[in-house]
Amino acid sequence: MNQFSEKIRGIPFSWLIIAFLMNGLGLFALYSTSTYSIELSLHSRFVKQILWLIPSLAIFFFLLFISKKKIHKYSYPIFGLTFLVLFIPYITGSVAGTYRWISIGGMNFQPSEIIKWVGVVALAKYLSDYNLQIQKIHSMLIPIAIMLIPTMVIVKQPDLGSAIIIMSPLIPMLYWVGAKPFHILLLIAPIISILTAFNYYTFTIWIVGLAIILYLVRPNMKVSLINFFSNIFIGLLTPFLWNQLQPYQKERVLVLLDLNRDPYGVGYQVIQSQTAIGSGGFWGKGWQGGTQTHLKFLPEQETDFIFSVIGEEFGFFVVSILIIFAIFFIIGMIKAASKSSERFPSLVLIGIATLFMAHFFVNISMTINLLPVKGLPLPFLSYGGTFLVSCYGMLGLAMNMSVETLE
Amino acid sequence: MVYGIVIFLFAIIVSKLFYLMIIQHDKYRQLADYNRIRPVLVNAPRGQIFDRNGVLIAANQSVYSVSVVRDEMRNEDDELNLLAEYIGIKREIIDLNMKKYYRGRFLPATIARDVSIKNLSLIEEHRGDLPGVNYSEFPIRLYMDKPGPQLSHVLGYLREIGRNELEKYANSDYTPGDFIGAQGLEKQYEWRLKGFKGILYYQVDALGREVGLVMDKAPIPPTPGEDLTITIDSGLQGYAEELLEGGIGSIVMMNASTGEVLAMVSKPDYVLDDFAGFIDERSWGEYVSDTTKPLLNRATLGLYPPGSAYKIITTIAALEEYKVDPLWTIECSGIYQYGDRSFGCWKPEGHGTVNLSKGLVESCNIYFYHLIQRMELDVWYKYGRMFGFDEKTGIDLPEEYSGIIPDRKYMDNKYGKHRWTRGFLLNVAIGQGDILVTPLQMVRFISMIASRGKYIQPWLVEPYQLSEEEKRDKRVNLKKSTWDKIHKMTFDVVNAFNGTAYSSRISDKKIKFYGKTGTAENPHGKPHAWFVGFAVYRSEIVSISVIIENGGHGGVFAAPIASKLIQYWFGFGDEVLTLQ
Repeated sequence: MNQFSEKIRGIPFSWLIIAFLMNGLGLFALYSTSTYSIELSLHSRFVKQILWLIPSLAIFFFLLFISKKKIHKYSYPIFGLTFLVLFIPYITGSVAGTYRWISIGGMNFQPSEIIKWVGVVALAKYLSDYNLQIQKIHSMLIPIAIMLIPTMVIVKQPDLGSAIIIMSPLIPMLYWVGAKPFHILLLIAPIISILTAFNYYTFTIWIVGLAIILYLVRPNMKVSLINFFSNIFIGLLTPFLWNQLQPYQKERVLVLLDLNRDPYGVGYQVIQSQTAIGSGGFWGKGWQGGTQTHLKFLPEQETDFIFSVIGEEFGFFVVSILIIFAIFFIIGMIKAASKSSERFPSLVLIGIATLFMAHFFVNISMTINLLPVKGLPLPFLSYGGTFLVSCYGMLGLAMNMSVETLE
Repeated sequence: MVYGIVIFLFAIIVSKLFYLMIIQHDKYRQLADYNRIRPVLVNAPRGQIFDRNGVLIAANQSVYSVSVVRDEMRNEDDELNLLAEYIGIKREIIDLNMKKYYRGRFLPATIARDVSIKNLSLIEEHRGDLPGVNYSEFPIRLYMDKPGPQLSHVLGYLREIGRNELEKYANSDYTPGDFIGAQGLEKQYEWRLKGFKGILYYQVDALGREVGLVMDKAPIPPTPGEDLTITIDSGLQGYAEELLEGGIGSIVMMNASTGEVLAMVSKPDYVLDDFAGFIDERSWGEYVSDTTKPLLNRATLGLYPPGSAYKIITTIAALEEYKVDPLWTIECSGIYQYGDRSFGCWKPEGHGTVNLSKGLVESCNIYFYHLIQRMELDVWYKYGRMFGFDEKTGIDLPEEYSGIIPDRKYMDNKYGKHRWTRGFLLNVAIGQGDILVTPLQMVRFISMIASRGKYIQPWLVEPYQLSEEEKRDKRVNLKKSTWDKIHKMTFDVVNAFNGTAYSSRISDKKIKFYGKTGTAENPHGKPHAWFVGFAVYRSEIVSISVIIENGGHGGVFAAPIASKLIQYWFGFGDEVLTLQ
C-alpha cells in the first residue's frame, strides 16, 4: 500500500490533463463536423468516440498500475500474440478493399495500431537485455527484425502510413541504448539512397558524401566496400522498384512535389486542407463556422484532417496552444526517459515519445503540404476507436514507466 | 540535442502554419469563399415603353422555363420522355437543349422555355415521378392587347444574345440565354432599357449543390431598366396600320414643327408576340423567306424613286435660280421627243398649254422635261440636299438608308465622264431614274416645306440636339415669294378642282391641307403610289408621307389615306370622306 501511494505521487498527471484537453478539443471538432444532421445516436461518430473512451481509460489505468516487471516479463508473448492478430483480417475478409480492420459486431478494430507500441515494448526488452553487444553493427539485426517483420505485414494490408510509423522508434531507441551514430548512419544509408536515387545530381552528391564519411571514420575495408557498393546498387534499383508501386502510392509522393498537378485528385485533399487552415486566420471562423468543413470541401475531416478543422474553426491561436501541448508532452517523456535509472522503462519512454512525435509531426505536416498524404491520425484528436485506445494505452504505459519504483 | 530535434521539427510546422494562417490568410480566405459562394444573377426587369399619351405598349411578363439536375434524376431517359409529353415538345428538342445548357451533373440545365402555366401544372401534378426537375421564371416582353397597333418595326424585337455579342459586351452583365434588342427601339435604347442584373449569393457544398443563401454577404438587388416614352400616338398608329393593312408600303406621320414621329407604319409587318419568348425555327424561317420582307422597316430602309413628288424640289430650284418665269408656258401633247427618244406624260392626251403652277398642280411631266434643261445638274442637286435628301435623317433607330440623289460626280462615276447626256436629267427632274428616297426622308422634306425651311429632324424618344449654329446652317433660306408659290401650288394639288389629289380634299375648311402626289414608275409592275403632304389646324402642323408599292396612281390610292389620317389626328374622324 505504501508502495502504491508512493507510485501515485510520482505519476506525472499533467500528461493526462494534456491528453484530456486534446481529446476534448478533438471531440469539439468532431461534433462540428457532424452538425449537418446532428443526431446524437449510437451511430454518430461523436457518440461512438465518447463510448470508445471507456475501453481507452480501462486500458490506460491497467497499464498505469500494472507493475513494470510484469510488462517486462510478458512483452514477448504479447508481441507474438498481437503479431498473429495482424493476420486475422486475411481470414475474416477485407473491409473497404483492405486488410486493416477486424470487424466485430459492427465495430472495426485495427490491430496495426496496437502493434506499434507493443513492438516498442518488445524492442525495449530486447535492447535492455542485450545492451552490451549493441556496439557492433551485426547486433542491430535482431532489433531491426523485431520492427521490420510486422512492418512487412502492414505494408501488405496495405497501410503505408502505419508501416512507416512503426519503424520510427527503431533509430531513436538504438541511439538511446548507445549504438554508434556511424552504425545508425549505415542503417539509414539505404533509405537515403532510395530517396536520392530519383535525381542524378542528388544521388551523386549522396554517394560522394557517403564515400567521404566512410574514409574519415575508417572502419575495416571490407565493411566499407560492401556498404558503399550495396548503397549504389540500391540506388540504381530504386527507379525500377518505383514502377512496381501502386499508382495511388506514387501519386501521393508526387503530389508533394507539385501541389497543383492534379487539383481534383489526391492534391485536392491537400489544397482544400491548406485552404481550410489558411482561411482560419488567427482566431478562426468560430466553432461550427468552418465553411470548408461544413460544406464538405475538406475531405477525411473526422480522421486524417481533423487538424484542418481545428485550424479553420479555432485559428492559429488554438493551433499554437495545441502544438505547445504536444511539445510539452513529448519533451516530458524524453526528460523522464533520461531521468530513469533503469534501461527498460527508459527505452519504452523513448519509443512512445517517438511514436507520438511521429504521429503529430507527420499528420500535421501532411495537412499543410510538408509531407505527402499518408493516412495517419492525430493522437487524441482524430476519430477512430482503436487509435484512441492505443493513445491512452501508450499514455498509461509512459506514465507507468516514468515512475521510479523500488521493485 | 534530442530536445533540439523535437523543437526544430515543430518549429517547421509552426512557421508553415504562421505562413498559411497569418501571412497568406487573405488569399486562403478568398479561396474558401470562392469554393463556397456561387453568385447567381437575378434578371433586371426591362424598361417599359409608353406612347406619347402614357399608354403602356410594351411591358414585361414572366414565362417559365423547366430545368433538370442530372444527378437528382432517377431515370434520366424516362423522365425526359415524360417531360416531353407534359410540356408538349419533342424529345429531340429537349436533348438539344440539354446539350446546349448542360453545365455539370449537379447544376440545373434548362430543357424547355416558354412553358405555359397549364403544362407547368401537369409537371407539378406528377412531381413524384420527376425528381430533379425544377422550373424558374424568365422575363419576356408583353405587348399591348390586340386590336391595337403592332408597332413592330418601331419597337423591334428581342432575341437570344449570340456568342459574338457576348464577347463584344464582355464588360457588361450579359450571360448566355439573355435577350437583347435586335431591331428598332429595343436595339437603339438597349443600354437604357436593359437595367443591371442583381446578384444573389448562394452557398454551395463540395458537390456544387446549393444549400441556401450566404448570410455574411448581402445580395445586390437588380437595377430595373429605364422606361421609355415614345412620340408615337398608339391610336393614330393603329388607324394607320389598319388603313395600310393588306398592302405593301409605308406611312410616316409627324409633327412638322418638332419632328416628333406620330405614326410609323411599314407593311407587311410581323407579330411581336411571336418574338416575345423563344421564336421557334419554323416561324422565324417563314418570316425570313417571305418575299414581301415583313422584317424590313420600309419607313427607313425602303428605297423608292419619289416620282412626281420630287417635282417640288425641281420647282424650288427653278424659282430660286431665276430659271423660270411663271408666265413661261410649254405645250403638252402627252409625248416629248428628246433626241431619238420619246418621253411620255402620265396623261396620254396631254395637258395642253402648261405654266409652272399648272405643271406642278396637275403634275405635267413634259413641263418639267423642258424646265430641267435650263438647269445644271449640280444646282438641282443642291436643292435636294438642302431638304435632307441623300443623307440620313438621324432618327433614333438603329438602321436607315440615305438614298441617292445624283449629282455630276455621281453620274460621272456611274456612267463615265461625258458618257451621260442631259437626256438623263429628264428622268430625275420628275423623280425617276437614278434617284432613291426613303419614306422618312420624304416626310422630313415636306415638313421643312411646311415650316418654311426650318430644319426638322425626326425622332421617337429623344431629339438630336442641334446647336444654334447647326440650326442656322441647316435652315433652308428661300425667297418669301418662292415659299408662297410652293405653298399655293401644293394647296391647289389637294384643293383645286384640277389638282391630282382633289378627291382627297378635306371638306372642313378649318384644316388647311397641302400635298403632292407621286406615281413612281417601276419596271416590276404597277407604279408606286406616293403622297406627301402637310396640314395646318389652329397652330399645329402635321406632315405625312404615304407610299403603297405597286399601288397605282398616287392621287387615287395614297392621298386618301393621308387625308383620313390627318382628319383623324385633328379629331375630325367622323367626317372622313369615303371616296374610292
